[in-house]
Amino acid sequence: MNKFTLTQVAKLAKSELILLALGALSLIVFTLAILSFAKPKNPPPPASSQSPWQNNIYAGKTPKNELESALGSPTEIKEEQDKEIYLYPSTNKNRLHEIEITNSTVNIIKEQVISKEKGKLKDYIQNYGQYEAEFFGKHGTFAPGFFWGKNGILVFANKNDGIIVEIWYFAPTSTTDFLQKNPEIKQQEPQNL
Amino acid sequence: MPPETIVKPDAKILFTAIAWALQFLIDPQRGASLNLPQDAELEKQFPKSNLTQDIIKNWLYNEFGETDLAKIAANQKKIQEVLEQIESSNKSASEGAIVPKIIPSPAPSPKVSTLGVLAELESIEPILKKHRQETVAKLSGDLNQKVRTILPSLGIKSTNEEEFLKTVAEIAQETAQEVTENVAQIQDPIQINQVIADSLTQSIIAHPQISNLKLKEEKLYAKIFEQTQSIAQTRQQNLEKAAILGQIEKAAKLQKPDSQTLNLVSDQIEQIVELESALTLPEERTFLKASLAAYLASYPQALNTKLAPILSQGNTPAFAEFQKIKESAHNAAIAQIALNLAKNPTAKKLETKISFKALTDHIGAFLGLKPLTEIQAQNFGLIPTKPKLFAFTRGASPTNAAVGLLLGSITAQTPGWSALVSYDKPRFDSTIENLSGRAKALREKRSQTYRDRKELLTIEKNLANFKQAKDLAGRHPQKVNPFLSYFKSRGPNRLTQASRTAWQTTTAYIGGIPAVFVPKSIRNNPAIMAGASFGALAPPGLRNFRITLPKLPSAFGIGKSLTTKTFGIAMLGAMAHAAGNIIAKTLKYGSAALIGLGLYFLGLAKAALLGFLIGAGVGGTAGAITGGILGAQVGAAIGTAVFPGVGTVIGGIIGGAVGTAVGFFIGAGVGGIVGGLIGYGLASGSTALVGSTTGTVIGALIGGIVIPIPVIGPLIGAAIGFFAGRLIAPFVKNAFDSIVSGSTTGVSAAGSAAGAFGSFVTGLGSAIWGGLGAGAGATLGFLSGAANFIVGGLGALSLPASAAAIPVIGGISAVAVGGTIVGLVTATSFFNPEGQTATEITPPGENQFFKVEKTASPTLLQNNQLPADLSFTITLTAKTKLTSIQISDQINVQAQTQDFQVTTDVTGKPIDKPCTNTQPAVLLQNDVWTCTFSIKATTFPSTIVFQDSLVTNKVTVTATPENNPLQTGTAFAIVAIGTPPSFCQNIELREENGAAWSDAEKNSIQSVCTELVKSTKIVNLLKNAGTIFLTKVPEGTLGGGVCGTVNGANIVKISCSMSSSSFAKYVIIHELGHIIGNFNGDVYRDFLNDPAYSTEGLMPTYPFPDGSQGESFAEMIADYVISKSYNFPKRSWSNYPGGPWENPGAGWTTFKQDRPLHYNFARDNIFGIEF
Repeated sequence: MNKFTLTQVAKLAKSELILLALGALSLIVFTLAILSFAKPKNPPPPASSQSPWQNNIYAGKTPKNELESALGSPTEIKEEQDKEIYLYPSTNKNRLHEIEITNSTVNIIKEQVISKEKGKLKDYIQNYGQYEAEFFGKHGTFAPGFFWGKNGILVFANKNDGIIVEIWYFAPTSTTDFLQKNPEIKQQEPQNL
Repeated sequence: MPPETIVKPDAKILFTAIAWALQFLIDPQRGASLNLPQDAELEKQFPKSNLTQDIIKNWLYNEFGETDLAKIAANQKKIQEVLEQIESSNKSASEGAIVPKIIPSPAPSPKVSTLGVLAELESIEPILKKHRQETVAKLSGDLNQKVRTILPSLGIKSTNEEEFLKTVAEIAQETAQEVTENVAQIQDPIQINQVIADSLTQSIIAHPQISNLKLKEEKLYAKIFEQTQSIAQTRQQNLEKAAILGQIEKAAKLQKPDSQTLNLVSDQIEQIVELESALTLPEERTFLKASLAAYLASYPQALNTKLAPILSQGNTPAFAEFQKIKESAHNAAIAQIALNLAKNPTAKKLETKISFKALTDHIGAFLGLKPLTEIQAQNFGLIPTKPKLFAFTRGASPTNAAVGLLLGSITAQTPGWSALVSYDKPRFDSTIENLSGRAKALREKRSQTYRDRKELLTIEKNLANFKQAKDLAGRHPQKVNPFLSYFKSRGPNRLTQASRTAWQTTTAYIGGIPAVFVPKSIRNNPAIMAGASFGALAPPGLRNFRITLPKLPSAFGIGKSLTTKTFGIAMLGAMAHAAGNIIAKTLKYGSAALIGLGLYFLGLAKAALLGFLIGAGVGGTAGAITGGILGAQVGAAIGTAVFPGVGTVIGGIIGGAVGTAVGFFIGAGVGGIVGGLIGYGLASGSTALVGSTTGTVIGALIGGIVIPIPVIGPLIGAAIGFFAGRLIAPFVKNAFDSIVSGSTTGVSAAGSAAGAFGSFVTGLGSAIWGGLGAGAGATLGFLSGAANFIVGGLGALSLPASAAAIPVIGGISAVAVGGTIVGLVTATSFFNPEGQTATEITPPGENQFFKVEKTASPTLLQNNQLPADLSFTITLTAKTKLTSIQISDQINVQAQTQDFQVTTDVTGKPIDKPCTNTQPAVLLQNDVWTCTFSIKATTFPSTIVFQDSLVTNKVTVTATPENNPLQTGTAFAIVAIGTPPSFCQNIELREENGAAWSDAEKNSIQSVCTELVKSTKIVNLLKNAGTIFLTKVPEGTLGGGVCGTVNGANIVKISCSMSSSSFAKYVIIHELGHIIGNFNGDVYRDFLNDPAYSTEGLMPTYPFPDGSQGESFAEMIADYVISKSYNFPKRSWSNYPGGPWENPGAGWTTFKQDRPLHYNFARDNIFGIEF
């Protein structure tokens, strides 16, 4: 195979076919470049991007025995109808993490936030994007719950200063389903009496 | 549950249970002198008895007069006595001890039965009868002597001595008899002479042999009142006893209340329900009535329990002591009923509508079962709260201010009263109907007794007053409508409230309140009744309005310093001095005369006043100019003669000033009269008057020019003008009609303004008239008879205050205070939020061992008064021996820019240990220690600038009372400088849907700010919310039983009345607690981390669903503030997770005792200081 000299390449480049091909290629590259700018940096996490608690405990997945092997025996176990509630100590002796277990599987984890260890509400908005809904639980308007159903997380935080007081972890679900399963959580802002 | 199904514990079981509970208490294994059996234990021991620990506890508290179980357990003697009585009682007692049935009165028993057989009460009737007979005999003798001298002094003589003495005897006997009956209505012994004088007055007026009395009824009463003072003093002891026995007899009769009493109570309940919650269902009304009936049935038992130990010894309590006993019995009866009601579903439904406690307090006072509070006494017209001139003008619009000002004068009060009583038409009509019926029945009675005749006279006078009011409201609505509009525009429900207050006074004044005595001789006077009604309506605390005429500046006094120089200058000085006097007198009498004329024309018609004002303005200006020119000329001439040169100038000035003043008043007077007559003519439609007046004036002017003969020319002109004017006037009438009737907007506005001004002048006139009455009344004396412009009601009659009223400082306030204390012991559940209003307790600086007070002087300073010394005084009073006394002091300054502390006084000594040289380590009982120190409020350097600041000085005293643990007390004093930073700056008041904040509510909100501003910390937490919107919304719109709400941000809505500052503090600070939570996530997180919630649970003073940390957080903040000044009544919410709020007794800060962790959290994290 003959080797092309620079002179031969220059002559070929003058051919219309080559020039058209190069032009089309340039357009494609340019379009791709533009599209790459227009796309969001962080695409929504896939359904499987459930937030774990303490790195390896997944609500709806982790069996009770794994929980116990990971965290040890709970401080207290409460039994309520068809579920057990495991209470684990937090860094504050007055507040215990609550883990509800149904059918020997972790169903929902209620983590008590004692200080700044979980950052602020804005950090979660940055991570997960805009929350899907705002709910109200026992903290009322002091700390409404900000709901990311696809990520299985509900963050109770003060709306004005972002201070987080509690976080719930659960299997990814829809708003409707979540409200149905947790009747103590309301969509409507409570009337502070 | 309807009342008839309320289960009352069987009496026998109750007493057996009490005996068992007492043994339980003193048993070291079980109660250990600290505990009574629990409800479950009682149920187990006495199945289906419905007995609760509360019932037992309440009974024991009342019986032992003690709320400390340890002290009850230690009282072995009393326990033994009670156990013995129970044993003997159980042998004989039948059922129904709680709400006992009436038992026929046995013979007085020498043995006290404290277990409520009611023997003591029922034995009263024969005792009272006997006492009355004895008293009548003594009193009629005294009165006989007195009447013999009184009748001739009234011009009542008889040629027949025997007939005269018979008349005297009849009057004396009837008076004595009536006095012993009426005296049972008194609220204070000072009223005894009122009763005597009133009865005597009425007996004289009504006696068939006496006619043509020249003195008016109230003046006759005033005269007799002076004469009977000595009798009242001599017989005070007998009559006080008659009063007490009479009141006990009335109470005893409540066991079987007659239909009249029940109707009266029922009527009162209906009125209150209509006012407070008109939507209350018929069955709920029935329930309330039944509950009140139960209260009435319980009351005699409670009273018997208190009185038995005294009566059984043959004694009668002193009047003041009896008032306290009544208050205590009233509270015990309420507590008894409330225990049952607390569990009743209908009662719970009613919680949001009617306060059972307030309702019962009202009925109790109404029937004389408890002493009146000061406010009730005012409302019933017993305390002479004459309305101050400006009492009704505060915060009013200009037009309202004018009407408000009118209400300060007696002439306006009568139509004002007519407006208010006729506003409640059904009550108005039924009252007239009732009075008419009673009068008819008495008139048609075949054999009218002396007493019937007296009663008929009174009823007829009352009826005449009401008919006059009816006539005014029906035929002359324009005379009452301005008053109705006034009250209507002063705020929601103000008209209804004002009408209700007027009716309360009126009811008392027509003898419709059994517990209230108002002398008939004065209550028959409509002006007095109206004055008392408005006195009850007028807010207290306003000063009397008084105008002093302006004094001239001493500019003319310069002559004095020149007198030594030359005679001429001295003469000028004397001239200036004389001129000054002339001007002062001219101003004084001229102003008075003009105002008098103004009032006169206003009395004729408003248009007359308008004419007068226009005429006075034009005439006054013309007169001032003319007088000034002429005066200057005369003055200059005199001055030249006295001291040529300088004298000319000075004389001219002096003369000009005198001429201006004199000319103004002459011109204004003449012009005003002319204008007034024209205006009156226009208003009354008298074209003749208008024409003749105008014609006379114009004719006189033209006549004087055309016929240049002094006097004669103007007179001829005036005569011609007079007749010409009468002829021409009708042709110009139409043009003026449109002006006077206000057919155009502009003229209408002018008319309104003139009307308002007219009203103002009336009020002003009334004030001046009052002021001038003493000295310069002669100038306007002729007006007094016609206009009767005297401020206030009673003053018009020159009655001594004691003849018409009872003193505030007597039984009423003292008993009310006593009642509060007793009320805490037997406190009860309340039904609605308003009813939950906390009661005031002893301040945090006072306990049973000592009292610490802190005062500041001054308490208010302007910035331009800085630098200044601020003095603070601590007063520590030992109630018992105190040792280890420690006193510390702290001064915090909150300025607009920064906060700082002051640590040393003006002498450089440290403030934290004030007055160390005199500070005691020990104080003996009743010792008082005071300490005063001062600080300098400066404006420099910049780190300690006091401008626009609030200086808060707090003293803390710790001491060990003898045989008691260490006690702490704190007291505050506050000094406001300039415009201090206020939490209220962050609050914006809003009103929605027609609701409005009243003045009283605004004052309450201010009191909230004053309370909170003590703590920089809470103010800063609230500042994070930015502006807080406090929105008033119509009552009931937030939902049943809900007073306030907060959204997720900074909008508070309030639907209940915040007029009561204690209630406002409770509600508003609770809502602000929500706002703190909404904007301070870290504080809320700290609250969750704190052991308070996990250990103590929900706050117990308000029922929340389990898990409502947010509500509990807000309640904690409210309780922290108000628990220092107010005490919650004991309450117990059914199945409430927070548990009952146990009120251990007066003087306890129950919040601190019951929820110490919450208390500490609030102190450290929300307030930063101990309140």
